[in-house]
This record gives sequence, structure tokens and C-alpha cells, in this order.
Amino acid sequence: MRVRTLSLIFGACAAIGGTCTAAEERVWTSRKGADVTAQLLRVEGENALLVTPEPREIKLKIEDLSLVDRQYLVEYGDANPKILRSSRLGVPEADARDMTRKFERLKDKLELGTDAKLHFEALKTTHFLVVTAGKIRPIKTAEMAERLWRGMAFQHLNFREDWGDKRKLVFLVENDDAFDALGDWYKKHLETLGGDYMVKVAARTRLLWDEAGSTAMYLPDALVEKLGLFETALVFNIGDNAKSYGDVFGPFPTHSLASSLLSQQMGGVADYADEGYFAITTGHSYYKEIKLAKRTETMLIDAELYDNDDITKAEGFQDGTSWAKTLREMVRKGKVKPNLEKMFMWEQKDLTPEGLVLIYSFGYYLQSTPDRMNAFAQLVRRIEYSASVPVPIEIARIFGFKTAAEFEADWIQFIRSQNFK
Amino acid sequence: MKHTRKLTKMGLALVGAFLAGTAGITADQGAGYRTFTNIKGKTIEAIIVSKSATSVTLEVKGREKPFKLPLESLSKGDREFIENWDQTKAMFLRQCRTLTVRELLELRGYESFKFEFAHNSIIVPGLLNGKKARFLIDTGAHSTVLHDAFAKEASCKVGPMTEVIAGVAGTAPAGWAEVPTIQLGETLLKDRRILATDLTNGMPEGVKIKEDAIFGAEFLSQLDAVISYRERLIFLRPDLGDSSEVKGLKDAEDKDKKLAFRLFKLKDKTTIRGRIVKKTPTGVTIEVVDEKERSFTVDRFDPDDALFIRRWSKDAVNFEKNCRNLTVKDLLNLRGYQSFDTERIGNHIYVDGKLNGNKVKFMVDTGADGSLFNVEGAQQNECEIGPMDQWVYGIGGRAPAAVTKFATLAVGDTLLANRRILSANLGKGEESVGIYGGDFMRELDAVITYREMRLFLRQK
Repeated sequence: MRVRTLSLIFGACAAIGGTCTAAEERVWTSRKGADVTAQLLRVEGENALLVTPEPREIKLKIEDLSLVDRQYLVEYGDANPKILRSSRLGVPEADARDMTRKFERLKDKLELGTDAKLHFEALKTTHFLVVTAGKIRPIKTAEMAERLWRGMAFQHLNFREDWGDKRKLVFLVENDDAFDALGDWYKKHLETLGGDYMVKVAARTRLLWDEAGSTAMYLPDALVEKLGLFETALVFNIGDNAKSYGDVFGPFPTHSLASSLLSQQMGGVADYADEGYFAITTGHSYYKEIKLAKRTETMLIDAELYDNDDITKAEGFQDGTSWAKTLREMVRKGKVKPNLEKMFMWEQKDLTPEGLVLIYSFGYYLQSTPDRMNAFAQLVRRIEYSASVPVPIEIARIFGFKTAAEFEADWIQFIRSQNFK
Repeated sequence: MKHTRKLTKMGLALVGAFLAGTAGITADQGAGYRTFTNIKGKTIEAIIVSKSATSVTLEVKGREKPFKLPLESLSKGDREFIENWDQTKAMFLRQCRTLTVRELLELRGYESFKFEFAHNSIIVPGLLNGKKARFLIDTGAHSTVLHDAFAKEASCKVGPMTEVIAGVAGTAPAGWAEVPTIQLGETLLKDRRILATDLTNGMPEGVKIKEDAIFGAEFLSQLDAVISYRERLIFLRPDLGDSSEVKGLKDAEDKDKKLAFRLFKLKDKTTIRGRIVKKTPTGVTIEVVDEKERSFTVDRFDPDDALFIRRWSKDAVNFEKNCRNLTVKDLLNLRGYQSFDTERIGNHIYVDGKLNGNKVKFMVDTGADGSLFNVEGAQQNECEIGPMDQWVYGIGGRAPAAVTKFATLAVGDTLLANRRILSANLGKGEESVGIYGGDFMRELDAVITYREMRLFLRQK
């Protein structure tokens, strides 16, 4: 029986990939090397023996393979399940070798209309189409996008297959006129989708257009089909902040794209089961931002609210290391008590500085050991399948605890340790 | 360790002889981890590596090195199990664990299709009257249904909308469409009359549907379909369609034997069924279904099949031949799946389970993105039901629904706890407590086999 729920349709759309090659022939991702398309021959001790289409036999160290590959080896190669837990965590986004050689600057601009302000230079990468307006150069952000993609593919079982051969469109708009023109164009596009509801959505979207540094944008079907894109694009309003886009892992772009990729993988969630979605995506985004960029510049709240608190000293919000230190103190003194259920009810408007940093600690904790990373990947799959965030007791169980209190105790221990940075 | 590998190879050579004189081999003969209990009641999960008259060597889950235990330290049941354990069989089964469902079924004449998920719905590309179409694979649809606008685009004659079809949200008008052909890979269905309706009916403005047609249970049943969520594959038997595209297959005298042959696809879009007799570095000789041998250069084949040929060896053939004696059930049991008999009522499939500890029936429905209870059934089984302030969409438009919490839902040993799904009025005569949908089946790596009418699930 064909049954659907509406909340899914208007949620962040799940990625739907194209067809892939044979089930046995798959892409293997090693920590530093290039991706390899090959079939598994067998597991030999600490190595996986593969055969490429040429055919050529190659041997890869299991330790260097992605969590996804190791799951495959356990399932189809009869490998010992301990390989899921024993490999070092690493930072797959940073460990990967140079991947810019495959980038291709396109001759034709992306044209969204006749107005020259809506003509964008385009750079094609394996999984993204990065288009620019203004003097901004796309290559660093494109590399960051590919590296974040690789991190997701390294850890999340369905990510590569769900993505398929589509590309995600990323706008880098430096020029204010172009950003305004894009806002007008998007408003008109939303209005064409029909109905009073969409007219209201269009008006509100345009009103808030200039406020956000990054925003998601639904694309017209014809463009999606013509260029093989996902239905949603990510738009960066760069303005005077071009500096953040000059490094591979600029803090804000890293935060925004990490959030976008995780949301895409988890898909939309039903509005009756979305408590915790904000904490999971926001925590993950801050974790990636601070881990990769070594600092944060993403503000969700007004830092000036807490002038007398350590946490809100000017550098405190700029420097991820200080976040951890300050939260550790507050948890030690009992000023902050991590509680899953309460945190899951928070929305952006409710956030205090310590609340935000607690969410960061949660995102960090979830991915802080190989065991937890494994559980986090399972949590993401659960959300993808069920279109709902598991209740706290179920999250605790995914992480190997019997109760939410046990989970919270372990999380507190993590915050109090020097592993939380 | 080297010694063990040598034994494995030898084991394979011996297995051929062993199977030749044996009706079959079952999966419970010691290939996977098993719980052993000692006389003090302590349990461990382990695989037997070897045994002697007085001891057994076990590989314990999570421990690197095997260790030896005296038999007398183990429970009576374990000692009996060890006495019946056969090293050759166990090695063979461990080898078979690495087979995929695809490898097993392709040895049986099935064709596989990679499918895409649209959320949890299964979408397979094909052709309808020669036009590219996206089919939603729907075990919960009694019959196949076309989207009326697509039927017209595909030049099908659609009659007056005087028929009525029913779905989750009530009824909808439908008309008979004449469909000359439906083609999924090599499988061809010809000259069918299929109901067409507006599949966008009741959907909110701006929402696009992902499918052009719903591929229903009558065709899945006819074609002995197998659906594997984990591998994202659906398998069909082209020879059970209305006409096979594979030359000579229908005329083959010994059909079972012919079905043991494999489909090979060439780059020129032709397909042959046969088996490899010999190969050189660049060429291959294939015995095709009409018994003749034909030679090809390897680069004439589609990449998948070219790779299959390049990897082909006589040893591998012997192994696969022996593995052919395994059933899908055997293979999946080796992989830690549980299998369940299903009950067929009309074209619908039902499986027994428990909801909050009470015995119930679920309808197995790949067409449902999310599982859904019948409100009445949810009430009877102590679920916590909220107000009817949600909507579900399907044939018939939209219907009100309520957020429903349950403590436990079990099918066999698989357990889903503390979940929130929706309930709607599915009707008083509904056989089941509700729909076991794509969400649960993806989570539990479900496999559905129409020929055996079984559902396989596993909880990792």
C-alpha cells in the first residue's frame, strides 16, 4: 500500500542517488589514498585483498579503510567484528590527499536568467558544482566540500550510495547586487510553485534573505534535471567575510556545509518526532568547525548577553579551546547539568551560551571514540529510516547504555576529561 | 594461521565429494558464532576451530587467539553439538558466508536490478510501452496501478474513469489502461489491462510524485521476486514473464538445468544465457542454452560481466556449484538473519509478531514509507494514541492520522522499542494490526522472497 507522510516531503529532502555498479563491485575508501573501485577477494590477516576491473589484485590495510568498508568486510568478508572498534578514529577530512586535480572550471556560466547579475562562474568537482559571483575564488571552499563529503562517506554506511552521481550546487556570492538579484529570483521561483502557502513562504524567505550567512535553496526541476543536481542548493552570502573562504577549512563555511551534509543524510523528520534534531545537527556542525578550522566564528546567539561570564569573553566564543575549558569548569561546579531530554527540547531562540557549548560537547562526545563513532553512524541511519529522532532512552541504548542517566554520566565524564577540547 | 588457510583450500576440494553424495547442507552446522555454556552456567559466543576426542578449540567473539577447552567443562548440549560438528562442512559454510544474495540468485537464473530509495520506497527503472518509467515496488498493492497522466504520455489507451480503487485514504476513480509492454531488464510483461488513476490525488500543491507506476504484488508473485533492502537489489525471473528476451530459453528441454546458466549482457544490448567453458586472457568460450559453444572477446561484454569473466576460474565454479545447494534461507541464516513464514491473503503478505507483548499480525508492505497502525488495533494493544492531527497520503487522497507510541514491537527476536509512528483508520475488516513498512524493513535489512513466501530480518 502506498503510504506517505507529509512531514517528510517538506523536510530536508533525503538524497536519492542514481544506480550504482554491481553489488560486489564497490568503491573502497582508504584514509589517505584515492578511492578504489574493486571487488573483495578475501580478508587476509590485517589486509583486504581486492581485485580491480582491469583486473589487478591490490592489498589494502584494513586499519586504513573507512568504517563503511570495515562494516562490509565484517558482513561479506567474514572479518572479525572487532575491526569496527579497534581502528583509530583519525580525521578523514584532513587526512585525505590533494583532490583538487579533478576540479574542472567550466567554460559556460550558470545562468539563472538574462540579468548578468544572475550569471555565475562555475567549478565542477566530483560531488559539487561551486558557482561564484564577485572576486571570490571557489577552489578552497570546493576542496573543503569534497573533504567533508569524504568524511561522511568514510563514516556513514548509506552516504555514498544515497548520493549517487548527483552534484550539490553551492553558491558563493560576494557581490551584494548579485545576492539581492538571487533573492529576487528565488522569491519568484517559490511563487511559481503555486498556492497561497508558497506565496507566504516566498515573501518570508525574501524578507530574511539578507540576514543569514548561508541558506538552503530549492532549485527548479529543469535545472536539477539538466545539471544532475540535488533539489536543494546551499547559498553563502559572503559580503565582507571573504577571509573565511580563503582557507580550505574556513570556520563558517565548514560549519554550514557539515550541517547541510548531515541533514541531507538524515533526511527530513516528522514534526512530531523532531526533538533532538537541532542538537544533533548543531552539535555536529560545531564539532566539525572546531575540529577542522580550529576555531569557531559561527554565532547562533548573542554573546553579549552574558558579559560577566567567562564563556562570553570576546575570545571565548571565537576560540573553541576556551569553550571546552569553560564548560568543563561549569560542569565541575554543577552550574551546568547535561540532560538529554531537556537539551532535546531547546530551540535556537532558547539557547544560552552554555547551552550552545553543551550542544557542542554533545556533538563532540557522539564521535569521540571508534565505538561512539560506530554508534553515531547507527543513530544517523535510524533517523534516516524512521524520519524521527529516537527518544533519549533509545539513544542511550544505541550507545550501549541501559538508561539515559548512564549515557549522561558518561557524557559528563567526557566533558570533565582532557579529551574534550 | 598458514596452516589453517591450507586446510581451507583442502576443505573446498573435499566438499565437492561430500556434497555429491548428500541431499543438502543446512546452515546450522556450525559456521556462525554459537553460544556455548560451561557446566557452571557461564556462556561465551564462539566458533569451533577444531576438536579432538577430549577437547575443543574455540575462536571466541572479540578475542584474537583461539583457545582450547576440555570437553568435560562444557554442558551436555554443547558436547553433543561438538560431537556432531564436522570440520569440512563448517569450513564450506564459512566460505559460503561471503556469498551475496545476488551471487546466489544469479546462479539460479534470476536477474538483479539495483534500486533507488525515495525515502524508504523502492524505485526501479524500466520501460512501459517503450517509454522510460519509474516503478514503485509495492508488496502492499494488490495489483499494479499506473499514474493516469503517465499512461497517456506512454501512449496507452485509457478508458473512462468508471472503476474504483481503494487505498489508505479511501477510494479513487480509475480507468482501464491497455498496456502493450512492461519491461524490467530482460523481463517482459505483454498485453496487460492495468488500472490507471491520478497518483497525485490529495497531495499538497507543489509535491512531486516519485513514481510513474506502482508495480504490484500480482507481478512480484508471478516473477518470483526477491527484494533485498541491504543490497538495494530486486531480483526477478525473466523466464516467468510473458516472453523472454533471451533466445532459446523457452524451448530448452531441461529447463531447470538451463536456469542454472547465467545471463551475460553484451555491449550491443543482446543477452545470452550460458556458462563459461574456458577462457584465455582476452577471450571466453560460453556454452549457451542451445548447447552450442560460442567464443567472444571479453571486451564485448558489459563491464560487470567482463569482470565476472576475468575473475572466473574452475576452482570458483566448483565452489559456486556447491553453494548452489544452499537456499536463500541457508545463506541468510549464515549471515545472522532470522526467517519467518508469511501468510498470503489475496496478494497481501502477513507476518506474525507481537505489539506491546500481544500476539498480532503485520502486513508486510514495501510501498509504505513509514509503518502505520490501524487505530483500532493500536487501541486494542495498549499503544498511546494522540489526537488525529496528522495526515497520511496514498490512493484515495489523504486521511487523518494520530501520533502513536508503542513500547515494543517484535517479529521473532527482532525488537523495536519506544517508537513513535502514525495510526489511521485502515478499516474494520483489516486482517492486521497495521503495516510493517519500509522504515522497519530498512532498519532490519529485510529480505522478502515470493517463491518461498518468507520474510528475513536481522538486528545488528
